[in-house]
Amino acid sequence: MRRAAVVLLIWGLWLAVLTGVQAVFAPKLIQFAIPAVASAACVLVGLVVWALDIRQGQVDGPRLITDSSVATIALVVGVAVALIGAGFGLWLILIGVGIMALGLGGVVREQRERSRALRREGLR
Amino acid sequence: MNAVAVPARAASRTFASSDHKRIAGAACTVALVFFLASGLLALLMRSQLAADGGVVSQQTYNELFTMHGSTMVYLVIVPVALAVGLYFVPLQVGAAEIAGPRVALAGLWMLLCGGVSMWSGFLTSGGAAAASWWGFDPLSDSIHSPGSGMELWIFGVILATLGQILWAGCILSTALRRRAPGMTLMRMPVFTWTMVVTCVMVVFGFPALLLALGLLWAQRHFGDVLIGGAGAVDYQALFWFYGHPVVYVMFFPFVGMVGEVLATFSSRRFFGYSAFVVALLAFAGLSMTVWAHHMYTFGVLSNKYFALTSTALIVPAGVEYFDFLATLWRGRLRFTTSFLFALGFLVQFLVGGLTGVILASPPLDYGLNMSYFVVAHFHYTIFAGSAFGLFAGIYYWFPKITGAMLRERLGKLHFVLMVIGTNVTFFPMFILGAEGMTRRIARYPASTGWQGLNILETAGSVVIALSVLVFMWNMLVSLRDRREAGDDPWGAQTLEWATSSPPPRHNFHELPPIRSYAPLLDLREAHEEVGV
Repeated sequence: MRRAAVVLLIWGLWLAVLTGVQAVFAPKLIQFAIPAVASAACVLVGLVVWALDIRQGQVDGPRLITDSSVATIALVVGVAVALIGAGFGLWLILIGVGIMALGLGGVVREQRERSRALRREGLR
Repeated sequence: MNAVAVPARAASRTFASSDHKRIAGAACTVALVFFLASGLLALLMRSQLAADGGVVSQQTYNELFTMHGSTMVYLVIVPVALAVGLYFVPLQVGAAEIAGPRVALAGLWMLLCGGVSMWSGFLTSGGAAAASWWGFDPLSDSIHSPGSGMELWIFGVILATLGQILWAGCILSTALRRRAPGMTLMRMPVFTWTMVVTCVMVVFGFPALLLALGLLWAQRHFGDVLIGGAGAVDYQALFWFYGHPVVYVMFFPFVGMVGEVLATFSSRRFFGYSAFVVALLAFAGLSMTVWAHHMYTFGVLSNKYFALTSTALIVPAGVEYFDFLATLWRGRLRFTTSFLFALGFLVQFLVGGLTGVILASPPLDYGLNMSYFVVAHFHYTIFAGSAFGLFAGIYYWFPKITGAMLRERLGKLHFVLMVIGTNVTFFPMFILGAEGMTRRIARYPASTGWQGLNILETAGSVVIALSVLVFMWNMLVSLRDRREAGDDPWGAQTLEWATSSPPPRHNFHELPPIRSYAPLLDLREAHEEVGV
C-alpha cells in the first residue's frame, strides 16, 4: 500500500482539531462552518483514496501516454463560453453548450482510440 | 515502467499537448505575458503617485490596481507556482507521466480563457473591473460596479481558479499515487512535499472562492443573496478562506525550491527533513485557520482565536528557517546566481514574515489596516520572498528544462538590480504606512509630505523593470548561443537530474535506486566509498 491516504487523513484531522479549538472562543457559525466543511471533505477524500489503495494495491503496469487532445480544448472553451454566457444571454450559453458537446464527443472518441491502441500493443 | 506514445501532429503537439512538461511550459509562457502586462499597470500606478496624481483618473486608477492585483494573484504567481510543480513533481517522484494529463491540459486552457475574460473588461464601455482583487460586496454589486467589466472579471476568476484546482488535483494524485518503486512518502524530495501541501490547500480551500463568486454573481443578477452587513461578512469570510491560504500557495512551492537550491549548493543533505515535513503539514493546517485576521476591524468574528493561530505560524516557520540555516552550516557553499536568489529569499522573506507578526496582533492591525504598511508586508512576502524563490528555481532548473545554461554574469547583474529595486520600492512603504498613507488612493495632498518617498519608490520600480529586462536578455542570449548543460550540471540530489536535459517524453529511460530523499547524493557517496 502506498499510504497516500495518510497525508490527507492526517491533514484533514489536524484542520478539524484547529477548527474545534474555536469552540472556546464562541465562534460565529460561518467561521466554524467553512473550515469544518474543508476538513470533512479532506478526510472523506482520504478515506476514498485509502479504499482505492487497498483495492488496487501497488499496481505499476504499463501505461499508454497520449500525446495531445484537441477535444479537451474544445470542451474547455465550450465551458468558458457557456459560463460567460450566463452574464450575456442564452444565445451565448447555447453556443457554449454546442462547443462543449463537440469537445465531449471528441474526448469519447480519443478514449476509444486509446483502448484500441492498448489492445494493439497487447497491454489489455 | 513501460510507456507507449500515441503520435500526434505537430500543430496539436504545440497547442494541445498533454505532456506535463509542455503544459507547464505553456502555462509559464501565458503567465509571463500576463506578468509583463501587469507590470505595465504597476508602472502606471507608480507614475501616478510620483506625478502627484496627474497621469490617470480615479476610476482608471481603480481599474489599474484591481487588474494588477487580480492578474498577479489569479494569473501569474499561483499558476506559475503550480506549473513548476506540474513540470517537476512527476520527475522528482520518478513517474512517467502526470496523473490525468487531459485534466492538466484542461487546466491550462481554463487559465487562458480566464485571463482573456478578465482582461477583455478593458474593451467594454464601462472599463475593466474596479472593485479590487477581492471584489468585496457591496462595492462589486450591480449598483456600485455596473457594466460587463465586473461580470467578465467574475467569470475570468472562476475559470482561472477552476483550472488551478484541476492542476492541483493532478499534482497531488501524481505525488501520492504515481511514485516510482522505492519512493516512499518520506523519501519524496523537499520540493515535492511543498507541492503536496500546496495542492491540498488548493483542492480544499479554493472552492470557497468559487462559492463566494457564485454568490456575488447571483447577487448582481437577482439581489437579496448577500443581504446587508451580514451578507458582506459572509462574502468576506468565504473570500478570505481562499484569500489567506492563497498567500501560502504563493509561498510554499518557492520554499521547496529554495530548500533544493540550498542543499545542492551547500553540497549537503537537507537538514532536518522529517521535522521540515511535519512543520509543512502543521503550517498548511494553521494557514487555513488564520483567514479572519484580514477582518479584525469588523469586530464580528473571534479576533482572539485568529490572533492566536496567526501568531502560532511563527513556530513551523521557525522550524523551516532553522532547517535552511542548518543545511548551510559547514557546507561547501557555491555562490551561483540560483544560490544568491535563495539567500535573498531567506533575508527578505524574513522581513515580510516578521512584519506579519505585527499585523497578526489585532490592536496593532487596527492602526495599520488598509495602510501602505500592509502593502509593504505582502510585497515583501510575495515579491521579495516568493519572486526571489522563483528566480532561484528558474536559474537552478533552466538547464534541466532547456538543456542550456543561463549566463552567470548576467544572472548576478539581474540579482543585484532586483535586490536594489525591490528594497527601494517596497521598504519606504513601511514608513509611509506607519505615517498613515492609506491604500488605493489616486491622489494625496501635498501637505502630507509623502511625495519624496513616493518618487523614490517609483524609481525603485523602474530598477525592478530593468532587472526583468536583464533576465529576459539572459534567457534570449542563453537559448541562442547555447552552452550545453548536460544531465546534471550542479551535482544535484534529486531524481529529475538522473534523466536527460530536457527529459524525454516519458521522463526516464531508467531510474537509479531510491534509498532516501537524496538518491543522487546516495549514489555519489556510494561511488566515493568504493573509490576509497
